[in-house]
Amino acid sequence: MSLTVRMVLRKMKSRKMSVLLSSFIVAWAMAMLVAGIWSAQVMDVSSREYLDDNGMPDLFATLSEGVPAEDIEPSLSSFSSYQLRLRWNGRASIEGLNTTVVIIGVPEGGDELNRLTLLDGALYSAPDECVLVAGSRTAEDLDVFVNGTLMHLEVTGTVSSPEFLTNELSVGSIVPGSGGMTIVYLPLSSLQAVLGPMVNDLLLDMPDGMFREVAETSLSPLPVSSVTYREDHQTVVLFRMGADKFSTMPPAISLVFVLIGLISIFMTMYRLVLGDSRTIGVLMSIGVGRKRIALAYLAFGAVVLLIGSIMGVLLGYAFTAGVSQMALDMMGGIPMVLPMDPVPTITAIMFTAFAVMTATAIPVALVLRKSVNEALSYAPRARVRVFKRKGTSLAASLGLRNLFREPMRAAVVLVAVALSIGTAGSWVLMVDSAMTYLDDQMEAQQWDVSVAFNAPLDRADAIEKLSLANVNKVLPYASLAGALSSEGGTTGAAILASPNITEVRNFDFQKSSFQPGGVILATKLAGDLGVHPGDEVTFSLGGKEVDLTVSGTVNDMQSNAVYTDSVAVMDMVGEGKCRGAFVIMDDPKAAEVFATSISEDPLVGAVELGEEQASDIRSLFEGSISMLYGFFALNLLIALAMAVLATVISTSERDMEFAAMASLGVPKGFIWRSLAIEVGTQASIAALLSAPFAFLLAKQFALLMEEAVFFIPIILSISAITSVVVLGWLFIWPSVLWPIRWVKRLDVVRTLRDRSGR
Amino acid sequence: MSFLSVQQVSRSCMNGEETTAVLKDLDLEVGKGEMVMIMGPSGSGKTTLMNSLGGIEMPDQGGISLDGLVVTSLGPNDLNQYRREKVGMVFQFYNLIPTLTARENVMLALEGRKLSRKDSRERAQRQLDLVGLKGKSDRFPQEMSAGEQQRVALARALVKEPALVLADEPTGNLDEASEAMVLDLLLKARKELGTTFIVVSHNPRLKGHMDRCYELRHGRLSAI
Repeated sequence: MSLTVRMVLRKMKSRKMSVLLSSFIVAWAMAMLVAGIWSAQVMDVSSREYLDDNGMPDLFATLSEGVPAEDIEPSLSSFSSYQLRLRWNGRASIEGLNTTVVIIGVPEGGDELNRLTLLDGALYSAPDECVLVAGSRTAEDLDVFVNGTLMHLEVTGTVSSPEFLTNELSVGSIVPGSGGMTIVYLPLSSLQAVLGPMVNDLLLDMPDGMFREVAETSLSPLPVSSVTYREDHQTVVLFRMGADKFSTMPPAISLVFVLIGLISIFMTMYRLVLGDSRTIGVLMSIGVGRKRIALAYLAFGAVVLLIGSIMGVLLGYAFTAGVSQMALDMMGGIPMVLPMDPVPTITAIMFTAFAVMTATAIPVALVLRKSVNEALSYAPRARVRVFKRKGTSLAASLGLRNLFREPMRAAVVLVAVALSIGTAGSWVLMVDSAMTYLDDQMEAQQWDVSVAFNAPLDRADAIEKLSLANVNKVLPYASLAGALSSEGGTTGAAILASPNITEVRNFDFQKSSFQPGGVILATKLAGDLGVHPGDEVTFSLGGKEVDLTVSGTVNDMQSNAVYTDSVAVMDMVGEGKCRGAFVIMDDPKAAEVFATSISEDPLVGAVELGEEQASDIRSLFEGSISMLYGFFALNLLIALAMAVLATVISTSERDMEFAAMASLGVPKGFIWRSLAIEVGTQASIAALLSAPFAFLLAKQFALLMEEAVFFIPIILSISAITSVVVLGWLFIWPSVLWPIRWVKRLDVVRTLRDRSGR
Repeated sequence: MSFLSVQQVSRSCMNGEETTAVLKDLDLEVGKGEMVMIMGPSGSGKTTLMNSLGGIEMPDQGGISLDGLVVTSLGPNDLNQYRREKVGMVFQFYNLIPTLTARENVMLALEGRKLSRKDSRERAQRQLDLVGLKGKSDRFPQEMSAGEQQRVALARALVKEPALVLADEPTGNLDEASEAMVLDLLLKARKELGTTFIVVSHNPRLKGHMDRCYELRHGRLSAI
């Protein structure tokens, strides 16, 4: 090791705190980068392995009516495997509640597709036994009314299945057809004994290379009411949302921390080389080349990088495992598969190395540009800005002037700390905005009760059936999950069709307005398809297609939402039929009584009050964004680290001043007060500055969020911003403890001697 | 008993693994209002002696007392109070706080005294006037010459009217005119306030104004 490198490394020993804090910030940035790239891989691999291991079918097809299995099988010859099931809605009283039960009859030996994983108890083995899907209301015995017949079933265990993995998540209102339902699997023969020898639910595996068109053509002789491909299935969509979220969010956040790390290293390095100007001058005067000196100081960056990388890899592994596990738990508790891929770590190290070495090299280059004379005669100078107000105490003046004695550095520190708080605060704004938006969305719903039927029902019959006392209006609807195509591409869409769609909910149009017969698209969906009002789109489902004209776009929490009053779309569930109806009451208070009375009807599958739906979605939202609060706290720690680093650097270069004050017998309280004012002011300005950063970052993160999960318009609310500012301030404020501790431990005698050359 | 009494003071310091005796059983008695000059080569222990007298560092052995107060038996807080109330220090490199103006630097020495802000300000201003810095009290140290900074340091040491002033090369960086002014101030303080001065200097012009001169060599004082 050369003498110059050894010299710099020894110098670092006296700056252990700065080195450690810089390394910590670098490690944090790196860990976020690693976690971003790696956790997306973990989620992707884990979900793929889970789906493959558990026989997730390529295609789900629902028939609008029951058909004997032997009539269906000829149409399925082109599929590699299939399972023909019977699915019906019944009603049962569980825990005193009259509940809709989804009953699925599974053929004997049907475990190749949609494999059931036993969570507790045992699988059914007798005709009167069944298993419940996790997330269902639990019971030991079930008395289920199916088509007017009472079935007594003994519940033998609880299972999870790929098709209902989301059932535990109560996401029914977000992902159509799932969430908190009571779902029962039982032998197909048991259900056929009640309903007749028919099936209406098809699970299909497509051979490699089979096109969708071919699959749909094969199914066209059957009365298919809906077709869902594996990629569009709620479980896969949820997995993809998770993977997308983790492939975009953490790397984006890590960039903020890379920037903060860069600033912290730059500050530390700048102070180190500037303080060493005379030494550098001496080295130059005895003929040591600039390149050699520069390399010696770059060793500092290398050490920070080394420590940061070691911590970063460990932290990155922990983050990845933690974040992936949390996300996979939220996605139904599927097992985590951690692929050992060095690419995320190598990518993160290379990126971080570039940033660290750049931040190190710039201040070195600035000092090495000086002539030998300039370097030798360098003396640190404070560029004092006068803060003088009548009544300002001496301690306050000292604190404020010290804060701004290096205006450029003060500005950089304030921006870096504010950026850290802002990053943390952006989560608070997002949560607040999401909740506010959720409330707005719920208020946009104009109905009081939503009723879903067990099977498609004539619209006129539905209106007649539901037009009870206190009912103002019945709005039949059909909700369908299919594919929406335009010239710009094809994507999955959740469509809600009702002849009175503008009475179902209010639309806050972003573009154009509603035209009868047209479709309203979520802004994100319209953007993905590249369509505008007036353009044509095609909705396809189960081999049927309907061409529609885009009449407008709206901001919608569900980024693939489509609304239409098209009768043609409604007819896709059966001509003149509907799947359910929204009910508007004369008096909303009468909704509960209406819901109770209608739920007894054998044709009614599910009844939901508008208020209940709002609370369900709110709890889902709260659950899925709870981890954002964790990020908030963790990011605040980085803000604290940055503030500590800044104050440590700033106070350590003032050792002589503290020693001088000690030698004058200046009371310690005076020094503490001036430090408290200095750090307190820094915290106040940074916390205030963090508000616009939080807003801007929240907007950026919301854009990423929209790509992955939900659309959230960021709203600048006073309460959220106040929380960010106050919490930010409270987190930064403790950084005063470090300089106080440092001053307490300052060796006055040694400082006076060293700095006066004695 | 003398006003300032140094008895059998010893102090060693570590140089790597080697222990070097800086002060060896050093004795010194100084009366109130006396001016004592200490000379000595570099490394002879002048700074250690001054730091010990100022209560900044403690001797390994021996005792120091000022006006009956046994300095060497004081704890950290009492030592701070001792420095604040009894001692004024003038450093060779002034050690002014760069972010405080000349007047504020002087006011700093009055912190902890039960003085109103107005009184503190007036006293600091008066002291600055006395050292010839009238009209420059709002300047920051870096806006002042070396001589002016030294005078601010002197004003800071004298403003609290200490019993003992420890001055380390107080005229080291001054031109002749400034040096004369500083000397006048020291003499005036002695005459009017009875201040005792211990001055470390190699300036032969100062020597003539001192009551006694010592050379510190091998850890002991010898009169010259």
